[in-house]
Amino acid sequence: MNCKDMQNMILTDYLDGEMDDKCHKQVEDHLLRCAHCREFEKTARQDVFNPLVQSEKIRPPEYMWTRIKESIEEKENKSGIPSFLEGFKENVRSLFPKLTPAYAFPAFMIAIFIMVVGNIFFMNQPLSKNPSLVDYASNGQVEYWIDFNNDEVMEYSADFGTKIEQYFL
Amino acid sequence: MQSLTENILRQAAEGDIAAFEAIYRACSGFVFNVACRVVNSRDDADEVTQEVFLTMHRQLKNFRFQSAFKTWTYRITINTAINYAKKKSKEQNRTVEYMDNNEYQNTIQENDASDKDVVTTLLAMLTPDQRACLVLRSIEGLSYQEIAEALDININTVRSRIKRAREALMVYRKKVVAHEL
Ligand SMILES: [Zn+2]
Repeated sequence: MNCKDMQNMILTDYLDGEMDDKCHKQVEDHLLRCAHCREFEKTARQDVFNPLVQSEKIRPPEYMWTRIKESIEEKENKSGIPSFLEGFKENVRSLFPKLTPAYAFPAFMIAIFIMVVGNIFFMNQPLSKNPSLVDYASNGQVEYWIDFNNDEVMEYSADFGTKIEQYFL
Repeated sequence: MQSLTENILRQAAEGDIAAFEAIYRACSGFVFNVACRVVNSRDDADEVTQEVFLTMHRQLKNFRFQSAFKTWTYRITINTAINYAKKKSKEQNRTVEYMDNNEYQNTIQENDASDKDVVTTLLAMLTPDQRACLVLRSIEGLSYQEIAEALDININTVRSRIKRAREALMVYRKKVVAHEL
């Protein structure tokens, strides 16, 4: 290994202590023999490595938490769902534990299909005169309204792991 | 960064603000320091820190495993800080285009003179990506592997960014010394 390779290792794994014993010894041996690299190591450590490693941590100001808390509360108020209904939303969701985006699309298509077919069947009767159908359609939508209006739909898809699934969902 | 119990993470995900405050207390030192150093400005660090915690608050419910919480926090923090730094340096470049060279030199000198610590001056010589790697390694003490995971890049990319960053700083130091002599 030449001096350039040595210096590359000194600037990274050697200074940062990421080297295994064998490599470490190799560099040390070279430093014993090579004044040029020895000087390089000394300069790098003094001028570049130490100032950062020894720098003081900057602490967050006291007002920070208050500000973040206020932003969270403001966002929750803006979301339009009062806090006492948040629990209700969660309860509704827990009634459909299998309701995940992977099923949402096919289920939504089936719901549309049923509504279209239903409409053709009952074309002569206005929807409002067929309460059972109205109930069915609106119930079908309630589930999905909850899910599609949820800004976390994409985030849920993260549970599936692969990017391709995220792309299609 | 202090560790948190799974219970706290779960409570915070359910919207318990006291539990989220516990998360803030455990992570804010890391988040704020990284924000300060990567954006290299204390004023902008406020905004970055706030954005990081709002993102965490929003996404916490997707979060299952305590063991991955650290990596997740590293990731949100460093990406938010890098994006902010890049956006800011673009804006600065645009300003420079409208200034003549003398004016720009004066601005640099003023900035240098107003800098309180040597770390800020050094970090100003680097790109946001180099700064991020160097800050996580040298100031926060993350391993190369942890940095690679946080930034979702290859470990050798981490190595090469750290190497280039330190090379650039050595060149800068040499110039300063030569100038002073
Ligand atoms: Zn040598």
